[in-house]
Amino acid sequence: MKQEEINLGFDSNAAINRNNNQENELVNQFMEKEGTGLNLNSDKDLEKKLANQFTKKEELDRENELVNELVNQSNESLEAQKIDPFAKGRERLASIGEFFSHTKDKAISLFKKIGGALSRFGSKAKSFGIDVLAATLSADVLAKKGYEFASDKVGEAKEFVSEFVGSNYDKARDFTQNKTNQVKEFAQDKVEMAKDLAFYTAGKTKEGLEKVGHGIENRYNKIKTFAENAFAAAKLEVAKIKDAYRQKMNAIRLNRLTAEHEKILQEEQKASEKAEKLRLKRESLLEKIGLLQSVENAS
Amino acid sequence: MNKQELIDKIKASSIEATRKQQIINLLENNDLTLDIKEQIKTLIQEDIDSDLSVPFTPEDYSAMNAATEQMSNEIANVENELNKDMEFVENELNDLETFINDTGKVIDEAQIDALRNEMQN
Repeated sequence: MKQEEINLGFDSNAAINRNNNQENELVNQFMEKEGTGLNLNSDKDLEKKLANQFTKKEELDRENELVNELVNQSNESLEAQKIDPFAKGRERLASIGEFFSHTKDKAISLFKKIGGALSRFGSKAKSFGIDVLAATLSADVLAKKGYEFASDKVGEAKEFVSEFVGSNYDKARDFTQNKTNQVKEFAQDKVEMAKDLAFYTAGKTKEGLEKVGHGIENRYNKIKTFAENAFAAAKLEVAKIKDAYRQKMNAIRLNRLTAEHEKILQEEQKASEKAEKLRLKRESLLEKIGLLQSVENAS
Repeated sequence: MNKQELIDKIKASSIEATRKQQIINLLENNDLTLDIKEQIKTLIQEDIDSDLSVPFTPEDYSAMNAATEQMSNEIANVENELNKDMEFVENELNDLETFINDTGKVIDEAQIDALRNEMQN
């Protein structure tokens, strides 16, 4: 029963009061027995009796202390929540912001690494006389396309997933639905590219290398788009979750305020009715006092 | 509602002065991207949550805890999904890098062959 009261956390004095009552009851019982002439045979009996009563009192004191401690703990927790019931939610929402930031940094680092390989590949393509491919895979162009893969290109590079507006997020919405197909497509691309590389290895023609190069560029772009869309889709999803959360929390707040407002209006209504009754009673009383006076004055 | 109408609405609102100015600055200096909208919504929500005088009941606290728990779980799912996607991207990029390096070796061989042919001729 005590535990139940502690859990509720609102009637913290109930358990203590009950213990105090028990304590008083014991003292009363003792006093009653003394008062009604209970015959204690010796001082030893009295000593024993008193010792028992004091032991019981000590037990009750300890119990009270424990109850107090638990009630205080429960109330502290409740008070903390009352102080700021939204702290936990805010903390979680801040952590997703940090997660996105970390993921973004990681993605930039991954694309920096591949950017270096692409740029070197572009140089080789150029030395092989495949200028178009070399141009599309040059460090400058790659930097402008997306990633800060070289320290001297940082200024030109745009951020991983630049600020999305409108249609960009439409793509992100489609991403989740089409992800399975994209993953399959990636696997097919790999098979095709392996075939192209085998063909080039056998013939070592300029056309063969050009085909391999375009395959590389295509795959790089697809991975880049996949990463950007995955990131944007996650951000979009979190935005939806946040909206839903805000709506729920605000609905609870609104309902409480509405209920409190209605309660006060009802109390005002009751108070108004009570005031009217009192007014009528007062008038009636005044009338009767007047009548008494009239009777007195009547001759 | 266009941006100016939104600014006017914010200006006329009961939002606390400092937050109000922060929101107006965000609106005046940025496009209405998802991130900017989120920042504005967060500021408005902070303003709402700053009123701690609402006499919430234990049932309210319980409902709020449940909502927070649900939100937290849903966000964890998004985190897991994005982690998986980024892991996929990392693997794909590693594969592509290997492929580029393999191709580079073939190009080197081709260039050596071309030089050898030139020297022989």
